[in-house]
Amino acid sequence: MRSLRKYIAVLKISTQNMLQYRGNIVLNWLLSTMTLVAPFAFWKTVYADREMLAGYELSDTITYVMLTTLLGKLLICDGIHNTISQDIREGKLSQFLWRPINYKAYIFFDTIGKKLMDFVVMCLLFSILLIPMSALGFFKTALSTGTAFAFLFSAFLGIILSFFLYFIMGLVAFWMTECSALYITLGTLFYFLAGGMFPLDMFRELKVISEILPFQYQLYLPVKIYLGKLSMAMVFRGIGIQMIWCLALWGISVIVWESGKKRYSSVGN
Amino acid sequence: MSIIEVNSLTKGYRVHKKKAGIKGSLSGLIKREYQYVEAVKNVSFQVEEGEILGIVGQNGAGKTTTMKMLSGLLYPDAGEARILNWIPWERKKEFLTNISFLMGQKGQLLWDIPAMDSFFLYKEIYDLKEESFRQTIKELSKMLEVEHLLSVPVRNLSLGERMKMEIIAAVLHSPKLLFLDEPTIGLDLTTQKKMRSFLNIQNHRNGTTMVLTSHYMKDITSLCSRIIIISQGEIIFDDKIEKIRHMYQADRVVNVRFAKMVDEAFLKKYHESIKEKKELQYTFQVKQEDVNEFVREISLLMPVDFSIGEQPIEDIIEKIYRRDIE
Ligand SMILES: Nc1ncnc2c1ncn2[C@@H]1O[C@H](COP(=O)(O)OP(=O)(O)O)[C@@H](O)[C@H]1O
Ligand SMILES: [Mg+2]
Repeated sequence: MRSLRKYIAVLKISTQNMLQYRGNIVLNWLLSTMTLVAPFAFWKTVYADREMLAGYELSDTITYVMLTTLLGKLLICDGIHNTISQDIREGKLSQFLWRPINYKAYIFFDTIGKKLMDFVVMCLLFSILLIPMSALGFFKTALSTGTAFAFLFSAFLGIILSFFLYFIMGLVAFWMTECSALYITLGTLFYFLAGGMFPLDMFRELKVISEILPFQYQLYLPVKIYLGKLSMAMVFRGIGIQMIWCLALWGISVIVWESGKKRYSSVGN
Repeated sequence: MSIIEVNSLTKGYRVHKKKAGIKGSLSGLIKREYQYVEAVKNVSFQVEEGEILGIVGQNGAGKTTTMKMLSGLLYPDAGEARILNWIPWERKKEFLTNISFLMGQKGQLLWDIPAMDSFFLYKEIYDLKEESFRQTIKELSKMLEVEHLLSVPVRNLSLGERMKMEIIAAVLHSPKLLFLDEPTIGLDLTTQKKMRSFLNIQNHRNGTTMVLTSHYMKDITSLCSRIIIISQGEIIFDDKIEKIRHMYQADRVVNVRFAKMVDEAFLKKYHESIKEKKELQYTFQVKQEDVNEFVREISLLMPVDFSIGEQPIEDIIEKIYRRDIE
């Protein structure tokens, strides 16, 4: 309980910190909302001479792309790997080692704190968009209670999974002093594999790999559940795999952290 | 009982040898060459509770590496250390709550928010009582004259103001042991003095044990009762500061002002000893055993003003460095 209080304090501080940049955040969101319009034109052309594409109607695809754009900001924890590698490189990690605080928990609550603001803005945008979009036949609004619950749970697991994934990626800096090139390359690939650009099941060949890899369980799965595209059995199976990946990545993060710590030669002074 | 016990501590770094230029970087990708730098060699010492130990040595001597091992940031290659009976690099919670580390070259406070907000975080981390936390902040910020800056984002503070906040952050949880790595670097003289008196008060009031490095001898002489001189990773001196004078046969510094032109023969004889000369004001540096003879001779010249002092500690330490390197 007592140790939870420290991390609540972390969360409070990072939210406060974020509030200083609220102007930026709102602007950021406005811009990305505008980019939401772009896929319309693109997909309209793609669907010009067909009704269906890999089982997706135009409205399904548009809904998918819009949802992943909105939810991606919330669920995918990219960015933390940059913070972590910087902390390692510049020696800022030191104080997390000599003070009685857990770095992983610190980063986690810091991330959640930063996402709270995004969450509020997203909910606002979502509710503004919901009415006109569903009138046009895009967003599905009628979620059953079961689906809604499964979606929320899966989204929650998605954040956890994403957190561990990018946390581990950040720890690579223990071994590589210069990781920014790696991050730029992998960042796009990871986002694609998470389903952030296209519905992954449009690519049949990819399906096998992406079902094994952890990436799609950050974003693709929750969105698919929301869209009501999965049978009950598939939902359970998906959430099961999500849980297994969360556990596995947690285990890996512990191992990588422990051995990285031994390599850490806190730079500076 | 000693608060710190260090036994044959040794630590080296493996550094990647990178050749210059693009060709060098490319060949480095394929075959990496490593070089082993021995930063700390076989270092042993003890620190008693309430003591302020100064560690001095030239850049790269191994001071920071030693402190990082003692605070649990680095694992040593060999040797052992016990602090309050804990092994530092095991980083047990009871150990961590009792130590602190202030780095002059690296800020630890969060940059974008006021220092007070970081202090709140530290309050939760160390589970400090609300009442005493408020009291401590009030007291410390008053002592350092930064009460009015507590709610200013850290990035808007001057270096001196920021270091004062950093030092508050370092002692907020009343650590038993405080590591200070060049805490006064880059600060103006007034701020340096303020920091020193602050540390002295912490030491007297709370009995905080401190291990300090600094390139400013004033920090060392006014804070430390004992110093360790470290050179190329090895301890070459470890004793009370006054002992340095005996061990290294410190010279005497003689200041003389003459009334008129100085005797040529005298100047010729002591030509080597002249350290400074400003019109008729001379400063000589004379070996201890020669001082009597020197004074006798000079009194014959009827100086207007005359004083004998000890050679400044920093001069002696510098001499020790030089001797060790040769
Ligand atoms: N992170 C590091 N990686 C490689 N070599 C290092 C590192 N830190 C220090 N060294 C080397 O170890 C030696 C001791 O450094 P340090 O302990 O920082 O000395 P000081 O604090 O006395 O100036 C130096 O030769 C330095 O170049
Ligand atoms: Mg140093």
